[in-house]
Amino acid sequence: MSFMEFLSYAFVQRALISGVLVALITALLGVFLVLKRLSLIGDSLSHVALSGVAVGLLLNITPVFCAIPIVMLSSLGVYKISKNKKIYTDSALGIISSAGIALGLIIAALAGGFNTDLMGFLFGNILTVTFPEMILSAVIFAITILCLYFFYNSLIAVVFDDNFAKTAGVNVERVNILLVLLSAVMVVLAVKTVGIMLVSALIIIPPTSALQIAKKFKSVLIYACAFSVFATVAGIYLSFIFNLPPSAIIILLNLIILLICSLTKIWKSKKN
Amino acid sequence: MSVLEIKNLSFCYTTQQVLKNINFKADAGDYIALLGPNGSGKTTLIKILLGLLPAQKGKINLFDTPLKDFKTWQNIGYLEQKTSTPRNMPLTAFDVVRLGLLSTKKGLKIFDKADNKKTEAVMKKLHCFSYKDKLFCELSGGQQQRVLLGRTLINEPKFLILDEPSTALDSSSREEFFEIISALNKENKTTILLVTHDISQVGKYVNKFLVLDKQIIFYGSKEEFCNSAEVTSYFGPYTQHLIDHLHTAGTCPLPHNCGHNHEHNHEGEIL
Repeated sequence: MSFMEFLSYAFVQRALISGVLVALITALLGVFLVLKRLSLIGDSLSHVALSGVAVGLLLNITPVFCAIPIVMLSSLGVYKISKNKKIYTDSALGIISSAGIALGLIIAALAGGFNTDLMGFLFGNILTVTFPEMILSAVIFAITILCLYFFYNSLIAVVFDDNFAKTAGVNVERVNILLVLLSAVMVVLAVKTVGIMLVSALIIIPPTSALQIAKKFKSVLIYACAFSVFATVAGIYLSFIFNLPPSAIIILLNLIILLICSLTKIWKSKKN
Repeated sequence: MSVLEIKNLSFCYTTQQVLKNINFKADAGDYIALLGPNGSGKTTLIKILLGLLPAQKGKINLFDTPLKDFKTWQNIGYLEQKTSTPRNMPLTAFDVVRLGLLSTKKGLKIFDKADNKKTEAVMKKLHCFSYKDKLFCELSGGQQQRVLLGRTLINEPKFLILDEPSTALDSSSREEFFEIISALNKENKTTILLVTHDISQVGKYVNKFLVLDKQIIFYGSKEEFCNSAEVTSYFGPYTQHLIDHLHTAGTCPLPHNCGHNHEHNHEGEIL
């Protein structure tokens, strides 16, 4: 099947548009999360998304819409717990993650056990993206771009050194809350693309690849977006051609890009 | 107008009292060395002044404004011993210095061409322009500290808070560092609060000493420091050595002896 023929299907168009938007959101926010050593927030919140999805399936509400407020509240919980110096951030993420899975399993059992819908959220199925979900991705993408435009330098200052950022008049609390809330929405959108099990890979791998080869912050953002979009589009196409799970292909392509970037970095450092 | 005024400040970490009933005042042009052994509350005091920790008890005024209402952070410069910068942070030295201008930005914190020019000017002044395009994380410790000093000085702050800023510097860079700070103090009347263990290095520059060990042991001029019974009592057998260092550095009548146990090394650093 030619690429043009592939593009003629409506469900493929929705998958590609949603996939590209989610790839851009995860790449952009992922850069800040990776540098802030918060990249596992994706893993943790995706497990909470399981609860949200299960609630949606139980109440017969579109799961993504149901999961967003639940995951947003949990992200604030992670932030508040990690601010409490008695509990480390990774411990807070672990606590929220376990709670999310435990609740999700109970609610799923109440809803009649694991059905195909829930399995779809566990491993992702971007080819089943609906029109409202695609519109939601576009809205969240627009909000993410606006937030990054308005808070770009503040976010960099907070990631670089939050003590300095505070003394430079940056409202560190507001910037951190913004970052975790955007991450929460991003995770729910990404769950549909690659599934609960693989969300963190989509958040971590493209920024990590970009950090291997880019020397400036804006270049890192551009490379991360380019890698993420390429892997998503190629992943959807290849999965369609070879009848394989798109989420797995997307992540494997991202891993191949990371390998190439790492080898390039090693080669450059040996050359110098 | 006082630059800093602290009244009855106390602070506890859970049950451990770190600061007890701290009172002192700094005026424009003061250059204060803040001394004290590890765990004496120096960094905690600074974090409270900067609003990074809450003042649990007591009052703090910065430029005659209560800390909670203080907004003009561009008047305060803060340089710490070491930043916890992410290892792969893709920021150049230029980007880091320019971040210092964030505190001058109201609303949208976006940089313009004038900010770039100002950044270049301060980097040239501090002799770090030659590596402006290098990644901050790839610079040596001394170069990083020079860049961070640029970030701190870019707003020409009226009050500089320096927390052991010379730790990563070699001896000649240290000397140059303190000359720059001293020039700011003399020419612009910049108030400086310098946390240090190295009395021998800063003795010739500062005009006041603040000795802290959970509470204020001593606060006064360099001359008073050399003749203080509290200082003699606190530093014990080391007092002689300490004052010798100050005497070598410039001003001080001579020595006292007394008994208190604190460990010091032969370079004049309180351990």
